[in-house]
Amino acid sequence: MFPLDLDASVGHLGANALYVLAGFLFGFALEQAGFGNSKNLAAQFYLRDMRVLKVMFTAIVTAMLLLVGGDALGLVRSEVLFVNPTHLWPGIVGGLVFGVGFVVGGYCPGTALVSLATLKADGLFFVLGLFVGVTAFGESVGLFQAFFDASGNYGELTLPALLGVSPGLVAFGVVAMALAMFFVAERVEAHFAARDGGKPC
Amino acid sequence: MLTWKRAGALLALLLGAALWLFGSPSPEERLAAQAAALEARLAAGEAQLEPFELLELGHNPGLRLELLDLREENEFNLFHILDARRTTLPELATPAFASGLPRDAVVVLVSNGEGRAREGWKLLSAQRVPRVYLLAGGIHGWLQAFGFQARLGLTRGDCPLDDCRRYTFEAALGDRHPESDPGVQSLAGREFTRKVKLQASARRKAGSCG
Amino acid sequence: MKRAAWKYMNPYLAGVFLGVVLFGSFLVFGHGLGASGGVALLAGSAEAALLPGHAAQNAYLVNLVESPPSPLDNWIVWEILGVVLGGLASGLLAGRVRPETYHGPRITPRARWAYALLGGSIAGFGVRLARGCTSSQALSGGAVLSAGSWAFMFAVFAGAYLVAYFVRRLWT
Repeated sequence: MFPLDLDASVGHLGANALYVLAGFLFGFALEQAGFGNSKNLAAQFYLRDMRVLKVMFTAIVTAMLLLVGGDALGLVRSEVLFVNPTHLWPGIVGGLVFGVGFVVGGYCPGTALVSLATLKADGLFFVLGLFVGVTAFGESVGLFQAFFDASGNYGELTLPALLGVSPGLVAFGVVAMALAMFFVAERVEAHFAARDGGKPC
Repeated sequence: MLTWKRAGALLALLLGAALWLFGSPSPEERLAAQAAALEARLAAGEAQLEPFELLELGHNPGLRLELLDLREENEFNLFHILDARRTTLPELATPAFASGLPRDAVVVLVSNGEGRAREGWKLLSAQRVPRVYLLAGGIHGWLQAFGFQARLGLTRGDCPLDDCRRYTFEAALGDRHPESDPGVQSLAGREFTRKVKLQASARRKAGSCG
Repeated sequence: MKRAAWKYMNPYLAGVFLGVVLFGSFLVFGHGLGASGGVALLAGSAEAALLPGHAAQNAYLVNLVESPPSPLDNWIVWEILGVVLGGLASGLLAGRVRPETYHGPRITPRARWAYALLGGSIAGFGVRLARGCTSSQALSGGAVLSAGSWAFMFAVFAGAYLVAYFVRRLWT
């Protein structure tokens, strides 16, 4: 029955080794997907290459189907999985701010690390910027502590609980939405490829 | 390439549809599927906590104890263990109840004897709530263990699940009876087998950015 | 001898790969993947080491740095170490490890560095405010259907698309 009780089965050191392995596969997948290159990431926002959308939503759909399926078959105890708590307004404002940083800087934290690992200077500067940004946040959070802690704080809120429907139905909806987005994304890519006359952009 | 893409899309859609149609068994369905295994665990005494252990847990400040009392409202008002909250078996059978329990809590079910607590234990365990237990012997076991045998003596034998009240109190004081919290000193010199595994290390912070 | 770099993986295939890794993380650890939390933890630890008196007065930093007491006790530090190693291994295999700067055709590498630094700072602030990044909130929270994570995800795309036009000189 999953998840495993790590400290009991492999001990502290073994758990850390497993975390390195998980990170290794994660970084490997990001690099293979082309996310060590800021131009691939930024192209998403100029509608030329929708790689970010495709990789992200395919990954979410894959993991979600496996998790919901594992739960239905009784293999995964979904009740004990970590669910990011919903802090709605800080999440939305933070997401908007992060989105701006994403398109200006060309990376997100995970992809910047991969870029740095393959010796890209822009990845290095982005990571340095992250250090600046998180430190600035730590220094200034006291000014808006109430907003950060309490605004739109719904705790562990999942979409099935919010909508009052089964996880399976939400999973089906997410799959349908992702496929529709992929379909549109490919149309958009084809449109710009034709307009740009096959020139690399 | 195109065919692979289409095949993948179709597969994902079919899987999603299958999960929608078959993916979320109700607590009762989960219970029916696991009934034999759960009965075996009950028979093995895995789930029953001795009253002493429950008292000890109640006095452990580092622990989140959810003490759920499954008795009738009048019985609960007459007497209950300190910090218990009343709920009912039908409530335990709703998926929202299980998902609303704090994840780090130790859940202990209480009834007069063990009848309703056993049913509740099976319901919650079937929904895979971690760390669910029941009070061995129920309220009767509690009163017996801490030397309040004088409260016991009532005999009735026609209650559902063989879970009749056998104790009497003169006033419905809820948890303001001395019997509600015998105090840690009453554990002195007691020997009992602990069944709750207290986690050695606090759960790793999964969400730090997570 | 120099060889041509591999092509990038098909995005859907890469997505399935990433999704399986994410699922594996949930199976083994009970939670998903992360990245920004590690950066925040390292930054906080560095600040606490350099300016101990100052950091001790900041409740947020104290909470961040002291639980658990050493950064090496936190899984996320080990995980981002793995991310760097994995990225390096993949880059070596694919022939993409070499010092260079990716930049748009209309700006110089130096300007790109400045924008990367600026963008990183903005993103760093945003991930802390949102309690997570694309990995931890969007991917991991998205897969377990957290309502807040989905709101975050759409906010990221909205924020990026809103300003993309105004910074088009950087990329096109």
